[in-house]
Amino acid sequence: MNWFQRSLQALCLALFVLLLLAATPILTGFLDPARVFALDPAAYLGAALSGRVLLPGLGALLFLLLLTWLLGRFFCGHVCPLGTSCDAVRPLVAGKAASEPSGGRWPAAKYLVLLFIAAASLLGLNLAYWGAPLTLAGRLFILVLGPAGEFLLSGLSGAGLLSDRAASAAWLPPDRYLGAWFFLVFFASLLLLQHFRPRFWCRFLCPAGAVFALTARRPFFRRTVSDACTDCGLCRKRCPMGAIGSDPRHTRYEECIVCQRCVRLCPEGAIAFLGLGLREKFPEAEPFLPGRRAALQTLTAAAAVAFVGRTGLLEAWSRQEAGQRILAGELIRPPGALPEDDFLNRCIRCGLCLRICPTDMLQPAMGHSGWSGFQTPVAVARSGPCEPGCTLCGEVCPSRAIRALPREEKVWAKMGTAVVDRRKCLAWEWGERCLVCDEACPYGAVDLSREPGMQVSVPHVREDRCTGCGACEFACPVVDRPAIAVSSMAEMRLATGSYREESERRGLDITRKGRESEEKPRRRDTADDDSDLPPGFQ
Amino acid sequence: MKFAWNYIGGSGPLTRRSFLEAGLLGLSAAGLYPALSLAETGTPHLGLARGDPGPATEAAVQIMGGMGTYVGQGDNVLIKPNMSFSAGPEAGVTTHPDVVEALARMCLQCGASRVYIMDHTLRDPSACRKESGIGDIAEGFQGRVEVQTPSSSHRFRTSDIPRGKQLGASDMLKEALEADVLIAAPVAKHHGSTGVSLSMKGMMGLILDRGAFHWQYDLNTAIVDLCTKLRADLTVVDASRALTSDGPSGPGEVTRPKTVIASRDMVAADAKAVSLIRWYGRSIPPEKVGHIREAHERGLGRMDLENLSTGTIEA
Repeated sequence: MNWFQRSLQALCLALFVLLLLAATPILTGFLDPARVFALDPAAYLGAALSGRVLLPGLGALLFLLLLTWLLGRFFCGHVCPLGTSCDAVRPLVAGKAASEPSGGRWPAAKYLVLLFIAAASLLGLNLAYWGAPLTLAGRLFILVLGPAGEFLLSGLSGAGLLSDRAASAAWLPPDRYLGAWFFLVFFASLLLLQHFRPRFWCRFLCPAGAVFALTARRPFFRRTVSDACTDCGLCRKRCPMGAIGSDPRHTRYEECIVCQRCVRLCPEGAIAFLGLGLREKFPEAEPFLPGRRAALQTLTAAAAVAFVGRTGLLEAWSRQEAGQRILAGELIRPPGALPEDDFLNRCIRCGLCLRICPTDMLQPAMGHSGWSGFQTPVAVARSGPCEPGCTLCGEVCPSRAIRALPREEKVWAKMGTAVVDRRKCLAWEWGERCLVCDEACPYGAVDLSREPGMQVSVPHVREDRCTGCGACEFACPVVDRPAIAVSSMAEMRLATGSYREESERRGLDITRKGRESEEKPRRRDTADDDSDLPPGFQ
Repeated sequence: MKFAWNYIGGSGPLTRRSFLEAGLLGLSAAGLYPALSLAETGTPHLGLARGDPGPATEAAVQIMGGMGTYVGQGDNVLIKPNMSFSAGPEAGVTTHPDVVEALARMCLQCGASRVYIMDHTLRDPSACRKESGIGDIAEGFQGRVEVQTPSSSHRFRTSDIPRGKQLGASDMLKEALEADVLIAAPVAKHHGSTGVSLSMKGMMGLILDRGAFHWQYDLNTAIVDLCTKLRADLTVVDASRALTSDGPSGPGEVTRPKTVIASRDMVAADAKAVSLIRWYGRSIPPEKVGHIREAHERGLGRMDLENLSTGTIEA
């Protein structure tokens, strides 16, 4: 075993998981979880091309590519958490040794994946999230493994296996995510494909691997074979990446992930990794590159998918009205999300905002916003409300698809408007003494007032005070569909500028502080007459 | 410290003679309720202290015989403040941290082995602990005081409510069921469907399922039902600030009565708070609060303030 490789992989994976657990910048710079995701060239390319924008983290990414040019695809073999996950699962699922270790022409497919993503992004549909390995690893840990771990822990404490005291410390309410089954199946398939070849994903499909491969065609630090080689072919058979040619002296450097397994395997000690200048010989094996016809087919497919991907019924319609796109009513975005088109282009689906949302309000969209919005964060108030003091989703967003707003500014970023369904409301329809929505609203946007002919006070939404946080919808005791719910009506999405100023222009009055002029009846100083008692007294 | 005993409804400083007279008057007026036993021990029904939240809390409890009357050596104490909202003390929707801190300190001084400060919050639990300021007070007590805002079901246990009219059982915090001493420490505030949210309404912070109170039962009756089970040994109403409108969450009008009310009787303490504060700019008698009226009628406590003795003090 290569202790250096395995230790580095374990370290990087632990760091990655730690960053997701903490989901907060431990150290500025590289250890910021947001920065980690910017290191994924496929995610970067997809968001930058479709959003037509340079994203933060370009310097670090270029530095990584420079290192790759010097050292080969070390990132895939030592750093990438998805690659490490593949390696960890491989011994459990390995099938019989393949007759053709290199995998035929399949390694060329990853270039087509990259081409497909780039072309679709240029046409305005960002599909990089299907392939970008760091964001895939983010979702693997955030949406599947993390909740599974929490579920087990909570099960143990619930079953009384932990003392009450330990249980209260260890208790983590398991995060719940929409469509967790989808991710489970998706990632299980991704990892189980290794039954056929080790590192199936990395070799054949990974678009970031393709970028690294193109960078590492002629690395400075590379595999060399001395004359002691006896042509036994052991290294070729056991190379996890199929990077060794039919003549074992030849190397496909763009496939090699520098794991140096061949060095340790070689019975003659003929293999070494050395820093050799560009002038030295490159005994290259024939590279796996896609043909022109396949490339053209891919481009055509990308154009077709980009076209079809923008025709979902629930996504932003292409109709313009009053300068704003009309959104599906249930499509509530996190506060400070860019205008819908920009948002869809920029979002790399890393899952950080889902992870960090303290109330589990943010959920991955499944069908909520059509194909173009698949797996983007939507705010589901029934799952949890948007806390007034919280600005975490914007702070962690690596691609600035959600703006980082200061606390004072965030409450003005209107996510939607609450609407009372009087046919379901306990007070309106059933005459029950319920004020839960009023109680829950942090902004005083629900007014309880007496209506003529009604025994109890009934709720009304003050639209100008409602920021769409969903605290009312979350708290509504009505089972199934709530009697008060946020719709995307009057949501505000600004690419630049102050939400507060724009809100005030629109006449909104969103605040958590008391208001001076309450237009409440304050007529007499006696309580002889019950008819005008303030709400709640009887 | 300036001490002055007086009665609600009366005025001016009292002599020993008028004190006894009034006590006898109260006794006869109250009929079934034996006021004499309290008068004999020198502890009035209600203790009122004016001043800063911390000192006023100590003084009010002192009037009620001191914390030693309630807490003994080795007791587990549960203090139930209102920390259900993620807002600072100035918003008037949560108990002032100084009040809770003073209570916890007094409990430990009287030999309590452990003090739990707990509330099943409405808002995000950690934000509530942090922003109310109550989460910070545990630090000074070397682990003997714990501030917790549990919300997961395994922290609760189903308990019968034998005296409940509508609410026959509910899932209650285990610590609340096991505590030797229960201290209610609500903030004084308005509540849109129950008139006020004080010590009795506050007991809903010790149970798991509050939704049923709104859709299954009469809210006021269910509150009284709950208080027959979770009956505070000592009630301390924090009226250092009062949210007099748009409760329970605010934002609304916040006044500063700068008063802390203590009593053995949850109903009396709540009634006193109602009469002390002007709600929506007007005075409203306690019987206009449904759950206070029902609790009085069901004998859980007393709202007839005119017959109750009150000790007042400037802290």
